[in-house]
Amino acid sequence: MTTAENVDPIEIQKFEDMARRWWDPDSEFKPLHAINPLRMHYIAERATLAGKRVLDIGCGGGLLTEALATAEASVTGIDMGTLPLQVAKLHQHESNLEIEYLQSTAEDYAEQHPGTFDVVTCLEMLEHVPDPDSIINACGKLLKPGGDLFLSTINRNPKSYLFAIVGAEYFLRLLPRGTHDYQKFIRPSELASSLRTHQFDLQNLVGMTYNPITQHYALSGDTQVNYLMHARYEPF
Amino acid sequence: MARYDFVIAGAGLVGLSAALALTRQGLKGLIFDHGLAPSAASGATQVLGLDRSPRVSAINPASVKFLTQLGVAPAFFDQAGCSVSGMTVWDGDGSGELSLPSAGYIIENHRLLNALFNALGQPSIAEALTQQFEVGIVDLQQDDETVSITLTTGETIQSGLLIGADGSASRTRDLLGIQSVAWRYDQTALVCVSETALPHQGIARQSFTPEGPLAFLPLPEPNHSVLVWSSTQAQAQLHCSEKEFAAMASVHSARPLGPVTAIGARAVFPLQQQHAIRYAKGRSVLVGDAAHSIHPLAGQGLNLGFADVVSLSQAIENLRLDQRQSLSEALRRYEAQRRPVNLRMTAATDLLKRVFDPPSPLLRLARSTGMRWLQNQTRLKQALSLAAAGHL
Repeated sequence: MTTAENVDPIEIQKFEDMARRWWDPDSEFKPLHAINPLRMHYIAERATLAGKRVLDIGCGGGLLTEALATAEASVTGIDMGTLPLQVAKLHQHESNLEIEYLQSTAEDYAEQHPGTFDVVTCLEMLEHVPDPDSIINACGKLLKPGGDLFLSTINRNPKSYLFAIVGAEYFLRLLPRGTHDYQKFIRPSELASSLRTHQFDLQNLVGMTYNPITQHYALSGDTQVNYLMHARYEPF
Repeated sequence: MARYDFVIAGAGLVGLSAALALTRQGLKGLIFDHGLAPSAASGATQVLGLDRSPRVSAINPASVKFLTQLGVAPAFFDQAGCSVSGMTVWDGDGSGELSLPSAGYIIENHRLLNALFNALGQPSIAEALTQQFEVGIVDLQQDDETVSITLTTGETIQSGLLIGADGSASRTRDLLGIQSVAWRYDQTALVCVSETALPHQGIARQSFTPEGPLAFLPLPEPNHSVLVWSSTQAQAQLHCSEKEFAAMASVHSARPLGPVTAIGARAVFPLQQQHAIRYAKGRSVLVGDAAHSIHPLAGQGLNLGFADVVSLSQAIENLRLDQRQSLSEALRRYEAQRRPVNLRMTAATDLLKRVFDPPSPLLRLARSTGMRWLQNQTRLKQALSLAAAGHL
């Protein structure tokens, strides 16, 4: 037995179980798998990905991040959750995709990498942070002029499963101490107004609805519950 | 091949309410009925110089709330129906009487049907719902994902969910192979619009006569009621002269309402109670009379049907929150929620009917004593009123 690496095999096993479930489309992560092709298709239709620098903010276990990398983008995924990042890195070994995963907030990362990215995605995250406007501001800093930003907010809600599963650790890192339960629906008009403040042009808004009978998600005109948004950074 | 989220067999009151509840959730569906389209369907005819039909239902406050949520205007109930403030039940020989506070409406079925069709006319709903009339169901097949439904037109359609709202003789229930338990009665219900010498004052009244329960359900006109006589003598009562029939009914109406001074055309329908042994199978489900039909003496049949739809619609809505759960699990939860409640009401109504049925003098004594006793039991009376109001 080697003592060169200070690792606990039980802890590793826990991460592997989580990684296996996160990437199992029939597990409790099913809703996330259900929406992933839909949101990926939306992004690929509206922005060039091949050869571009893409940042996935709130990448979680890497479902969207890997899809972006498969579309031949050069992708970085950031998240504040240790466990989801471990899951993402473990799965990366299987998929053999080139992705850089880092633990960072959007704001800190923007300070270090201003004007770096062609595309920034921030999906199903804004409703979980106390100050969504600060994230939008960071997205502006991160993008090159003319770069594309994709946002979504989901009210009822694949990601709330992740919070239930991944748990308090995720919350504690995402939110300042003493704050909790930031799950709040952000109206499209509020988000559009925040985007304008930070020099974005709104390109498109589309609803995403879940059909409880067919159990499929579809893009729709109904933005009352879940929606996707595309904006372009136009600082001049 | 056409594909829908849901298909509803039966465009009666319960079926239409289900169509509204589900389209309001953003689902797309088809509702069909073997009857005529509503514009061609017969509504009220002139009865005793009034535009009134004897086909009425009692609507409790829970149903009013549900219908309002579906888009029926709150003012509709007071405009179209008669608000009921209480109910009085008495023994035919006048030996016992029970008065209960009550709330709700007596409303003609065709007016409620029109109100629901109007609610379906809202553009967003009309877009999401296809309606077909003079069409029945011939066959159905279901697997894990789909119900395939063959219609009398020869067309086969596919749906994620099939709702059988096609009444007590439900063809959907038969095709699903769901058995039902039936209680047959030796009574037939006779209904007609009637005018009484004294005003009804918004009280629903029921007398337990030797022939069976006789109800006077108030209409908006102060001296007009719908008379419902669940009777062993309905055939004779149907074929005698109006004068003779009015005299028979007057024996029982006399004390609270005075004599029956005029009656409209009489109609009869058979009475039976039945209960399906299950409500859900795969991606198909039964609601309203297709699942359970009860004796009308408690005025609860339609209320139970609406409560079914509330529960079913909630079970489907809950799938949005827990997306791991399957539809068939949701349908089984609906069944688990509704079947015991409906069964209790069916059994209670059957018991009431049987207690008041036999002409034995001893039982009559027990019953009138019981009613006098009940009249003094405030808490028990409250419980009965709550049950009648849909708070079971």
